[in-house]
Amino acid sequence: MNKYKDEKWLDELISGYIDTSEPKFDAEKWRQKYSWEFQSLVDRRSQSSPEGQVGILSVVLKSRVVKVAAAVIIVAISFFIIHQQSSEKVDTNAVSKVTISPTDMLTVASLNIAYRKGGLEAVEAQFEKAHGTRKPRATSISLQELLN
Amino acid sequence: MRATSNKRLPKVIYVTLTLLVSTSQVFAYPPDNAAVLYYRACQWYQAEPEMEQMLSDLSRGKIELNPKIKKLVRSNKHAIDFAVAASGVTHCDWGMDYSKGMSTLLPPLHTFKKLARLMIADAKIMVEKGDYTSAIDRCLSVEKFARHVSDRNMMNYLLGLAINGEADKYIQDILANMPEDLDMLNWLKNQLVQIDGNSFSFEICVDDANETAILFMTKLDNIKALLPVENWEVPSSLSKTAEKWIFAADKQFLVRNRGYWEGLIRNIKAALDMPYPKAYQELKRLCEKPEKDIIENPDATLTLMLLPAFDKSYGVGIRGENLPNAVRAAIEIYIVKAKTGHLPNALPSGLPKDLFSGEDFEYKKMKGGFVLRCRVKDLGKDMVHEYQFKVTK
Repeated sequence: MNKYKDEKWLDELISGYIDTSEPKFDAEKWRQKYSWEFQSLVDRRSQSSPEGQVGILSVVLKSRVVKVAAAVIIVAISFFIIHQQSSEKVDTNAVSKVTISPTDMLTVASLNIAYRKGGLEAVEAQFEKAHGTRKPRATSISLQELLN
Repeated sequence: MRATSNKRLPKVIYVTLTLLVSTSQVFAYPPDNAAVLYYRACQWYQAEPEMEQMLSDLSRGKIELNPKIKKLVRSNKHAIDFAVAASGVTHCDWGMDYSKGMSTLLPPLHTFKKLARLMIADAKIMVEKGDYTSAIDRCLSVEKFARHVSDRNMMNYLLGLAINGEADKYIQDILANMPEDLDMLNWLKNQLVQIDGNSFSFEICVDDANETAILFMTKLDNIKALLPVENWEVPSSLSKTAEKWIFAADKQFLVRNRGYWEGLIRNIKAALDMPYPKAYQELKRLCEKPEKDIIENPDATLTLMLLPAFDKSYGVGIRGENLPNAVRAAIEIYIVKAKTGHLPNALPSGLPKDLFSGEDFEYKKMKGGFVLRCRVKDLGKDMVHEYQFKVTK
């Protein structure tokens, strides 16, 4: 019981197995061992950014974790864009609904639909729209154009 | 001698035949198809949108004849001449390829209506000059034009009735303002009897819609081309259901859908034999039926998408055909007035009927003229129509 109270025996026991001496920082050794990181710090200091944001950015960009995160974000954005495009493809059906050709607007089917929607006024409006969107007739034509 | 005459004979026959054939070609005007001339009238017709609006306002009685309209009529003389010449031709074939079914392209019906308004404006100019006979004759040309326009197709039928309405409304106006003239009235009556020999027919339009839809429902490719369903006048709540059935469509789907369509058309035709109020209600019910059925019955899909608005067009048809009946009945009353000097106390017998009730119009004398009133409400408009006819003192 007393022996446990005396903590010295434990210190002795630990120091027997591991080095418990005060750690000393050897800058030269560290520079050699971590030459790339050292160089980055030196480069950062030499950059002109007062806030050091660009330097941080370059460090951040060189981080593997950040690279992975960036890749994930790019993939997510790409997926989002592709998805948007595909949903736009679905919408083109709706667009085609509005932009049917003038000829298609004058078919029995199309005019029946117009009549169901808005009666004879809608039918006449559809005729007007179809004829209005057709290429206008030339007001004059030369003999050469006529023969060609 | 005999040999010489034998040589001459073929030459004489040849020359005679050549002359006969060439002269018949020179004088072959008007052509035996009125549509050719109507299309030429459309080719010559020219009016700015502002002037077309003015013609429409003139037709609706919103404005009076003015110098701009007179100028427009003058500048469209060729168009009017072609249309008048066309109206005198019995046969009219618009050259529509009905074998294309739902894709059949229709003639420029909206321009026909504008042409008719232009012709009526011309008649108004004639009345202003006091030339009532020519004005009525112009209206009769429009009536013939209307019957030419009315074809087996529903749109032609409806636009034909609209054009006919333009003419009848103006005849009604002329009768109210022209000096009493028994000969003219008898001539008008006889002309109308001849014109009415070629009457409008809603039943033919139903038959045409039936044939067109059946033709359409024979090919699976046609059905797939119905997608996206949004292009069709399908209620948005049902479009997903319709799309689902069409995606899964096969030949059996076509057969069953044709069966559903044919059953509905049989009922629609049966409804047309009923008196107006019942027929209208029944057509309304039948036209709404596919919307209710499609939720659980895929066989209703194509009928929902292809069925024309028979209920609406039937109502418009009755309304459009009733005005000519009122005008023709009124002419008889004007004749009685011209003969006796007084309006009759009761409607003469054997006159055209009120199509809403199937009975005679309700006749009522009033100050300065008389009224022909329908006996049953127009269910589409929720009103009882009255046609007023003024009498010159």
